Amino acid sequence: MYQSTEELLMNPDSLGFVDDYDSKSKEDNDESMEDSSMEDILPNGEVLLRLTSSRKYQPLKSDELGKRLKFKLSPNSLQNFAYFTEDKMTDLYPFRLPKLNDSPAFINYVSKLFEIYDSMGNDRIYSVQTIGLINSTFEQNHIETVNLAMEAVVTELEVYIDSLNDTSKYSNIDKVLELEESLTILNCLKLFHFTLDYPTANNRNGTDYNIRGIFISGLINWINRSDGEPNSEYIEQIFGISTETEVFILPIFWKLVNQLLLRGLFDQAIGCIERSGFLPFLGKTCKVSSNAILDLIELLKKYPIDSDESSFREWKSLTLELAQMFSNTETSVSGELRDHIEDTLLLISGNQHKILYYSNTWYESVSGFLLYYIPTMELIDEYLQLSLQSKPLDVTNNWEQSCVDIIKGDIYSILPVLESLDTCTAAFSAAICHAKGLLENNIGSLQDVMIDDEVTIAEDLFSPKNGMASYLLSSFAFELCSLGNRAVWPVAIGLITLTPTLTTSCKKTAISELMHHYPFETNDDIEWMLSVCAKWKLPHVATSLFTKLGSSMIYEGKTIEAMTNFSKAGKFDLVKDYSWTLFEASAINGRPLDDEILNAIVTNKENDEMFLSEDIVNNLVTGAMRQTLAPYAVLYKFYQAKEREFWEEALALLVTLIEFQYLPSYYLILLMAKFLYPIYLIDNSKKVSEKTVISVIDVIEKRWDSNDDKCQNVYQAILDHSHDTNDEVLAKLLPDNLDELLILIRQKLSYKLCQEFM
Amino acid sequence: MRPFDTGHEDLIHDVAYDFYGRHVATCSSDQHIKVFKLNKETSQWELNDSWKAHDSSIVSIDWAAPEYGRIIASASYDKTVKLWEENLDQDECSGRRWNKLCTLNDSNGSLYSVKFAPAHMGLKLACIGNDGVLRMYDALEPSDLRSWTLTSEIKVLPSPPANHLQSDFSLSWCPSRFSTQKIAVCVLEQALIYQKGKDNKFHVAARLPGHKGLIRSISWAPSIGRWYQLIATGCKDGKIRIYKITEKLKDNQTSSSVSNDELNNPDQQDNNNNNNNNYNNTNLNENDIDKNALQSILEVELLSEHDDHQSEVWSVSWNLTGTILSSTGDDGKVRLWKSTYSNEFKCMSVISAQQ
Repeated sequence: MYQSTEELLMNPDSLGFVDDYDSKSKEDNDESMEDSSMEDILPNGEVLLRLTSSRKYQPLKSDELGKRLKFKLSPNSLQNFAYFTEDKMTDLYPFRLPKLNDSPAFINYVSKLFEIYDSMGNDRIYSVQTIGLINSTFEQNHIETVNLAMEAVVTELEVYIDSLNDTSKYSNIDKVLELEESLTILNCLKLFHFTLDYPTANNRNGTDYNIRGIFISGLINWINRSDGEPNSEYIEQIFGISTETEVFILPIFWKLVNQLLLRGLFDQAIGCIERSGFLPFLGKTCKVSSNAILDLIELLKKYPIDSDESSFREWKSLTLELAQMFSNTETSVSGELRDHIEDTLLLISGNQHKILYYSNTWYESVSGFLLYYIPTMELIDEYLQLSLQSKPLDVTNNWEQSCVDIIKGDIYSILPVLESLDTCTAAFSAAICHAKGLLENNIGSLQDVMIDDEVTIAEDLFSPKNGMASYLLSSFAFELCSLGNRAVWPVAIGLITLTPTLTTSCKKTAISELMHHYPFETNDDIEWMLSVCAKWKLPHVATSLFTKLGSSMIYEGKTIEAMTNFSKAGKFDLVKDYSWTLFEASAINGRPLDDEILNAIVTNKENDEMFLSEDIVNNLVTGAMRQTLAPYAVLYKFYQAKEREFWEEALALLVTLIEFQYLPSYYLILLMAKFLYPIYLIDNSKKVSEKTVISVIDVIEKRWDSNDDKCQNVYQAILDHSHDTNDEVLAKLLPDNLDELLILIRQKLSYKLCQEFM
Repeated sequence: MRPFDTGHEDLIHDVAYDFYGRHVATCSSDQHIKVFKLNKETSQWELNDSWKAHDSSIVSIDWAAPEYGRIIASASYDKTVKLWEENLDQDECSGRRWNKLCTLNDSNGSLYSVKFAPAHMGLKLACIGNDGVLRMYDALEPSDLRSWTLTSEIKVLPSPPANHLQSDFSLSWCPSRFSTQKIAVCVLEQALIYQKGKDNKFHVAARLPGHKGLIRSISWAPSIGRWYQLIATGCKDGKIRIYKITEKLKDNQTSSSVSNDELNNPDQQDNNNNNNNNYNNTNLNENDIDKNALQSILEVELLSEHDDHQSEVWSVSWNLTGTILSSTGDDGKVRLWKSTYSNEFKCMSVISAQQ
């Protein structure tokens, strides 16, 4: 026997409904409460939101107008700003676009749905085989795959809702309610379009589907999850109405029992009858009625949910027999009570009038017809018509109209509703409907007959010619890309890749534009990005990536790594410029740069201390870098020769640099002022060959320019450095300007020439 | 989400996000620029640095593409554009974190707008101000960002507007890399599209008709996945306008519905508008357009026009993918617009700033 309401009822918690607020939680969650009340629907259907989470933060008074309010949408849709160009209004108001989600639970949900869609393979496209070798099982396999995919989507949605209920339920209450509505629509969609055509034999998995069982279970699940009625409080109220009168005397009790029966809640209906004490009462007062109720309970326990149609016919004949027998038999109970028993027996025997009479809603009637009248889809239009005539649909919720549309076979009209509730669910549901052939199928049929303008339009990812499913998938992929969360990017790009479109070029252009915005952070991100570039042949995206990497490494002081990336990006001007920058920095300091990687590169030596193997160095150094770093390599060798006081060798290296035809003129100044003049020309003991002197004179004649800004800047940098480093020798040797330096150099070169001649 | 005080001591004129939306820069009449950084852990915006950048109100700010480093351009009523580069060696909030790279002081009037071109066009920026001249600068040596060259100077207005009149100027580059270089330029109540021609110079290629007041804001939508372009404008006449721009090769000119008359005689269409405005002396001389210089022609279609704000519109802005448009107005509301499956823009949300 059932002793309490708790035992009587289905457990609403297990169905994932959101708990109502209690007063305490309202107080505890004042702000989240404000959040949840943020939305309002305007008369024209627009959603009204507050700029801030709380009324107290709102910048304008009610009905205050005439302020220069501005708004900037961010590349990251969760971090937009509103602001005012007004006096004393210097706050920024962060605002995340409504209905966007980047929670781990959502990302997991998206990933799961993508896996389901991806795993459908070729079955993502609906096609009717008309030519070639027509495989008899092709269609069956396709139906099975698509139906299973829809079932998996519904399961994942249930898991997602559960995960939201498990976590911070109050802040998610709006989202959960929307997802519950989505689930109700999907349950209905699955029931009427993804259940009844399961192949019964010879299917791919060898599974023999019990279609009636799947359908009836789905039906019961659909209507009971949709609204959670009758709720436990209501039932408790009925059982607590009067302590003086037995509950089973009350018409409302029988209304409840019949409602439970219409909803296929057999155990709960039996539980209500048992808890009411009706059976002991009848046992004492009316044996016939008692037996009828006992038979009713037995019949309900044996309702053929999982059995075939013949079992249902047998079961129904028993119910008719029972109802008939009860009607024709005299009973000790009379009046209303007898009528209640008779009504219940008539209801389960499929009496149309009783089904309609005891239904609170149109969907309870539909359920009653399918459970007790004739469980066939051939009469579904009639059932729906009768039900809606008796109980009009509730237009204040989103799902009822959608479910009516689904039953009528109009799938298009539910997609905007699903989209308004949850874009992710809508996109994947539409894609699976497309695969089932429930939506239009332009793909393939139009490809052969496109004229010029249509070709252009087909190049649009959002072209109506690509269909509603493609539109929703692409829109959702774009939404993912604007979340600023790189974890969802593979799904977004995958979605665009899998989206059914007339041509693939529109996908390629979309992916190439999107990938520029990929917020990479780790090496794995870069690897993934490059793999997408390789797959879609997007060299300019890779170029952009390497340029960004190079640029950010410059800021981090990693010049060599930056040059490597610039080389890979084909930015050879930058590679050259940074090579000269290194050269300049070293020359001004008068010693090799303190960069072991760079020095290992120019000396071609492995660096044991830094574990720089030849492979690592080779990976870092590109062909362009080898060329552009060559002047620094010569300068480095010059330093080494100078260090060992191999003056002739050092001079030869220095002259090699001076004679280098691509040496910028300002670096000629640098080499002359920093090395040739102070080390060789001033020091009379160091000999300079006649050939070398003539060669240097030749270079000076051709390229020395004292008036050039850059030459002057470089010379000033040398002077500044000598002062900064207290290099008094050099400071004394070098005159204040380039013209004077040139005169001194000419004089010293002449002396060297004479010295050589003497 | 809670608002936060920028710390500016006067009007905030502009807010700009960097390429990934991780930093935001603000500029103000207090002559300061402030940069805020998004803390990923807390999702809070933290001050990166604040510094006095100009000698007058700073009215426009923009970030260069990340390919070129961390660079900001600011435009001010002091007639200069300044370029700033972040120096990671300096502490945050030290006032020295951003080094000035250079000052561009060619303008003869207060500047109103500065915008970097998309990365694929190179390191390039455009600015416009009260002298009615559109100027473009290029960093010709990518490793020397201190050196900028004035590469283009286009007189958009025949003569500057009278000082006693309200004026506004704005710019927006076409972000598509698959399209010829284009920039939308708003001067007072005229909106024009300039396109790079065969001679590598920018020429007027189209006009966005219908404005009956100062254009307060213009935004060129990213055209990801679309074969056409979208431009939105927000106007003092209380309307948001969304234009569809279709580019066609000149060979196909006959098959397209481009109206050359419209290009040549823009005022014909807006005759009624101009009868009552105060800017007749600044009307553009469209007869100067050298259509032969353009490789393609642009077909402009006013896709939709909305007066939902029922008051002056102050800003329009597109999201990353060009699928959502925001608009704001004197009514204290932000509206979010989205294109439907049938390609109609509908207001999906209204965000109220009122209590």
